[in-house]
Amino acid sequence: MTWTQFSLGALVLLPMLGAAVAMLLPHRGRRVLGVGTAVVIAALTVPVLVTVTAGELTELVLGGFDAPLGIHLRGDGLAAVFLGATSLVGLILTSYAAVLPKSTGTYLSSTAWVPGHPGFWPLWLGCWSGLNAVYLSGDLFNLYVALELVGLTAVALVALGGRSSWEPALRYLFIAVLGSLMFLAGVGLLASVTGTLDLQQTRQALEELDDPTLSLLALTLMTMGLGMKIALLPMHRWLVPAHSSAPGVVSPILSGLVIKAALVVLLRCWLWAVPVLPGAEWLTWLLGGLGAAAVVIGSVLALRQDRLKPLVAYSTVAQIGYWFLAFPLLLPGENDDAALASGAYSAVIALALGHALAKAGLFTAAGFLKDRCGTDEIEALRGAGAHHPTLILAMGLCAVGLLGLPISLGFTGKWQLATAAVAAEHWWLILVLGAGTLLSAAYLLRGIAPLLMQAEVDDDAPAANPVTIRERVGEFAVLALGVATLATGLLGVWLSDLLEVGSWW
Amino acid sequence: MISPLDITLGLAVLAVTGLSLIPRSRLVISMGFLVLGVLAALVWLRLDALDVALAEAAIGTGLLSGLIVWLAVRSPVPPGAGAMETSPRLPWLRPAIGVLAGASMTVVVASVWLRAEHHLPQWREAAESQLPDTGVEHPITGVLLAFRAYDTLLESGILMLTAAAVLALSRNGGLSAEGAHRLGVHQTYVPMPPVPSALSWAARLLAPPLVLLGLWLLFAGSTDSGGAFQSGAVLAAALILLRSAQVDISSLTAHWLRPLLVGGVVVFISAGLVGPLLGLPWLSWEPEWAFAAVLSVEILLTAGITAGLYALFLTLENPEGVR
Amino acid sequence: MDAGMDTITWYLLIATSMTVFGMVRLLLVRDMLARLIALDVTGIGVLVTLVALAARSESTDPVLQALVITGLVIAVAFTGLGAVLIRRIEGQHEDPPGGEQS
Repeated sequence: MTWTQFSLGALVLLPMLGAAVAMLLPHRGRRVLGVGTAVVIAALTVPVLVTVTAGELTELVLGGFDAPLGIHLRGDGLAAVFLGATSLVGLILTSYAAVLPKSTGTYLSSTAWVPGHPGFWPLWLGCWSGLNAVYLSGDLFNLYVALELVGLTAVALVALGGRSSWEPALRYLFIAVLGSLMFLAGVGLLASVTGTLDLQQTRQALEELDDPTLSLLALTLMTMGLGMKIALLPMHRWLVPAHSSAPGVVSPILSGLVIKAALVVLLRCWLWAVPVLPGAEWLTWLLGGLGAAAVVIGSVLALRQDRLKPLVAYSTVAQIGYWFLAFPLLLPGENDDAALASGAYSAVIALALGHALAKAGLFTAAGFLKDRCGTDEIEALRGAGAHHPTLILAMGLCAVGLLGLPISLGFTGKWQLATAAVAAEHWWLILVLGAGTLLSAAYLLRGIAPLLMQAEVDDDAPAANPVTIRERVGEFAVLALGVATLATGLLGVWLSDLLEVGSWW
Repeated sequence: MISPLDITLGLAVLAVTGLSLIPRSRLVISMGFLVLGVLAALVWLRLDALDVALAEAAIGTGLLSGLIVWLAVRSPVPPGAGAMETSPRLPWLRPAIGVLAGASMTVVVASVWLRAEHHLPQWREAAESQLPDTGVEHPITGVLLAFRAYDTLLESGILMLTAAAVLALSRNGGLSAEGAHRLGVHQTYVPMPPVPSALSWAARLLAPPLVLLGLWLLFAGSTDSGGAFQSGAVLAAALILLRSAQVDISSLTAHWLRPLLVGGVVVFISAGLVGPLLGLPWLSWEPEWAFAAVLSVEILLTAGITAGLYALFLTLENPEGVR
Repeated sequence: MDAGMDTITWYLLIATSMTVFGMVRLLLVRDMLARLIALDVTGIGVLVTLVALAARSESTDPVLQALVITGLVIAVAFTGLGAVLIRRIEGQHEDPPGGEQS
């Protein structure tokens, strides 16, 4: 057994162990354990990235029982890039939460509501374990269990925000479970005709099948279920209250990482589990259309917000649309070449990864301002930037990433998408991309510009309190995310090479 | 041919499904759901799935419905609304849309079902030939704790984190707050609402046999139907009965709830780590010590499941100051 | 028991309608407890489907049965969290003093 194989298992099981131990430790120990676990996870990601860079696919047969009986973990390109991004974002956010505990929510002590929720640590480590499990899983039922682990911890993390977050959390719970159940129903349908749960074997069995109707129904069910969990446009209504009422450090986790888990499962279904089906085109066009609608409507709704966190949350709704825009290009048709599909595929990944970094940074910054000033109304935050130059710089860098300006990953993604769209002569796609970019410039300006304006801050306003050293360190965590947003843009070529490993073509 | 028994059972399931979905009263729908759990267990018996039927009876009907009925009894009417909301105009519109959409979706899905050519699972031979290596004789326990132990591990993690989540909604975040070292759950020390003495005595009488039944299910699991989940559910039910009967188990809860909760997961992962240390994949049990590993994991997992399910009931009562 | 194909198809139909109607009710009803129950009905429907699939072989398939037990436990976990959340949300609106009557 190699180090890489060890890492594949450890990436899931060690955070879970950390979550269990964190429930027993005293207050300070939990924070130390959290940061320690985050460092170990980041270290375990390295062997996986190195192996995949060398062009090898690592497989771990858990318990030594081969599929279809047992479960395989596969460290392929898709898994590696998402593991890398999650480790980077996770490590930074964990440090932020350890330095600024009040960003982890409020709890009811025997007398009052107190900031700094002790329940954050086990739940976040459990969530991280679930995220890694989703990326690595090579088995359909295991994907369901891992998705539920992510969903449950995400709901619980939202509920840490105190009274006002309970209703959004419950609403999120209904959607998350319904989405998973639809996915499970799809898995059941597939298993009934293939007799296996393993992703690769499912594909082989489905290719031999004459009648695609059932696979199509299964794919539709899974796509609907996962679309709910990703919050694709008509099913997006749960996202905004959940993401904006969550505690400061939880919103970036949800928006940057948790919805990506459902996206990875969706890609696994479309590109790995199910072969290209005759009759699936209308579904890709439907998804593309919904994506376009999400880009426009999400951006317009973001423009109309008066508070910073809902604005950032609606921006997530819009950015989700970009990933679905690529779906009509994702499946190689009769005459198209595979290069087109692979270009669209790496565009989706680049956009999703760029969003993970940039949105995590922007949401952390918004949460920071809300925790410090007690409100996130844009009017009330006017001039708040004067005390936080580092934070404003970080927000600017994240905005560059979200807009898709050079040299960010968002730019790489939009460029690849546009190239693929031109090659396939889908001009409407360019139009949506352009409109989306302009609209996002508008709403980002609306969110960030007032912070820079001069305003006479009252001496007794919370924004005028002296900035503590802890808060300064927290600002640098946000800056790290902003810098990462730009720096990862330089890795675009490496990313495309990684994605080749274990890809479906 | 379908036997008349199956037809009757199926129709009863449909009727009770309606009863637990349609009525406006919380009490009625929760009772409907309770009956639905019993019927589902019968369906599973008819389908020859004894283990699932046991799990449904213990976990589904016993705990799940218990939870929901209890919730409905505590707040029979949603506060503020007076009754469940309906749209003011066209009150028949929603139900009509629901029935139409439901019926058409059922027809579409069912027609695809009926046309599909089904294939039997490919894992049957492998499962039978490798069962002796796992140290257990009952195939379902073999699947849960050896072949697909990874799923079971993640699932027990889910239960543990659910307990963490409901504790987080309690006083002091359910974990020790700054400067404190014991479980801060308010409900531990607040007595349950008083119950009639006859009921209390019945609960006290019922609890010991339930504990015995739970232990029997646990140890039967390696050779026969039963296992950690069914056993944990029965044991949790015994604890809940004891608490309802005003037996004081608060110090037990305060000291042992969290260690028991995490013990199963910790031991499961540690046992899984033995494989990598010997150069084998994660979660491998060597045939020589497979039985010992599976048994110790199963015992601690049962304790963890008991604690997790009990925590769900413990935290259901609101702490003071929630409003 | 030798569950014939007809019996299994019959139960598959029952399970499908449970799933679909649970889902529809979940999306249409507002009351939180009713939604929670509808969610569980959907869950039971999906799980009955899986067991019916498991019953197609001569002796009911152990792997699919184990998966269903896993699914049941996950359903209980989510219902538990949902129930506690509902209690907390409604606890906020109860009458302040003496609102904890049984």
